[in-house]
Amino acid sequence: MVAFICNHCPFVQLIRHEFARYGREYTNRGIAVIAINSNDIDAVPDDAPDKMKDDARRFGYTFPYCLDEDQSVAKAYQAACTPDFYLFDADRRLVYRGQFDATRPGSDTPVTGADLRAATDALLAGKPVPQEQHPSLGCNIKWRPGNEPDYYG
Amino acid sequence: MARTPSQMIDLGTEAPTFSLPDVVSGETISLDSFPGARATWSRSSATTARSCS
Repeated sequence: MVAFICNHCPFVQLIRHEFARYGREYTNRGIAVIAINSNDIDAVPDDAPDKMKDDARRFGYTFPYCLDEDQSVAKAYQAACTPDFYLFDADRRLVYRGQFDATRPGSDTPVTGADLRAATDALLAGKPVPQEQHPSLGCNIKWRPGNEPDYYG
Repeated sequence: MARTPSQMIDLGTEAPTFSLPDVVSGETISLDSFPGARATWSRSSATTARSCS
């Protein structure tokens, strides 16, 4: 499970406690969870590596929190926003992408990770992953000037 | 900040490989696949390499 996240974005801040819990639970159930920050850290100092380390400790990230400094990994995944989630099966084929759940900043919907959890539970149970999948919504990935992908904007 | 949605790339797409530093552990994390294993990434450092399986 590959998640594109960062520190500074309110959409990530809303779910990071629950995402940390997801990480702890599903790592124990055999899912490899990886978080990646692809933002331009020169433009967003709050997303710099020392701050990433702070967030990982503060919020209990038990999974790797990687820096994609040249943003090549975000482009390879066509990641557009933070947070953005990708779940792969054991054959490394994409079975789920999109939102953690339906919560958004300012909404009353509880933060549960329901969509990602349902997909992961189905995968672990050997059942078909629900095909009804909804895009995540978040802050755009902060591309380095001149490094914006075709799908940006 | 622009509110931006996911690209929703095609299901079935193969996971792009990568090799990135984990800022917490200092290890390099790379995507890899091991037949029959659920875990799909491996950790390595400058001096050691091991695979999760």
